[in-house]
Amino acid sequence: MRYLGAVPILVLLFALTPGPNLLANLTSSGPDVRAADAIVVLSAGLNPDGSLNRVSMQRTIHGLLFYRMGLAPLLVFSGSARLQTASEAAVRAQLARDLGVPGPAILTDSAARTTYEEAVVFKEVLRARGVARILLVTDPQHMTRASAVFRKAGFLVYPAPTVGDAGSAPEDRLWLLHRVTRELAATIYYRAMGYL
Amino acid sequence: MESLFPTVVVLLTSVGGYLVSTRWLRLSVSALLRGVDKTLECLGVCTVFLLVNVIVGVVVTVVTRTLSGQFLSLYLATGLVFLPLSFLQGLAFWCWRRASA
Repeated sequence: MRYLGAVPILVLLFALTPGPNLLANLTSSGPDVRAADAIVVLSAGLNPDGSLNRVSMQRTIHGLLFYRMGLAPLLVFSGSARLQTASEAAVRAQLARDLGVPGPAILTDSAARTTYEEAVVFKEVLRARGVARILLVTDPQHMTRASAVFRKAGFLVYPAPTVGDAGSAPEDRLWLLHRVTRELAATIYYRAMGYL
Repeated sequence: MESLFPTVVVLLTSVGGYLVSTRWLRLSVSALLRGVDKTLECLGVCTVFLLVNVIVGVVVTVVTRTLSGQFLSLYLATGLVFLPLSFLQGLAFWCWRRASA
């Protein structure tokens, strides 16, 4: 039991080094930003008041910037609803319209609840529109699994990760380590389920 | 510098605690090693509780999705809140075991 007790101490000591940042870089996907048929912005959730949470806002803005750069004619937002509020996809779409993106250039889906479901839904919806190449927007740690799922759905995926957590404070590194570990567990689950 | 700040503070308080313990409270240095051993034991129990909490969380999530059709995110089973809660569980269990011995 005492050997197991050394694990949290080693984890804390690891968080005091640049190790988590290196691990995050090793496990995340680098960007490959280029022209595509559509920009797909994956969901990240809403705040209790129905507004976009920080991660969702970051991804949305990232997607909007790529649209403004003319990298794709179609901007696709994913995101389901919390109780009593509009869906995350709808909130994102409204923000895009408020920032000048024309309505016909925006496509939304609020049915998908997981990364896998997003790939399944968009496989049906986007392939029917002739979309084969997508610029995929999500976090760096999430990008590896998300890209793999969307590639399995038949898309040519160009990863466009948002800015990663590059903090050097121990609490930032602990948070980063948590996210890397969580993504590793999610990847193992997805492989076991045959989603990858 | 900022990344080293917590380390420096903890080192200072650890050295201070050691000096207070050995000089004022007259605790023995050999007992410190036994204390470290017990600390590792307690942390091991806490780690077990953390692993069990995560596993049970995943099972509850999958069972809920399958039986009720209600969606629960698997991310809930890996929330950071499980760290302090598992620590409290492990500490309570370890103290209970010590008190029963």
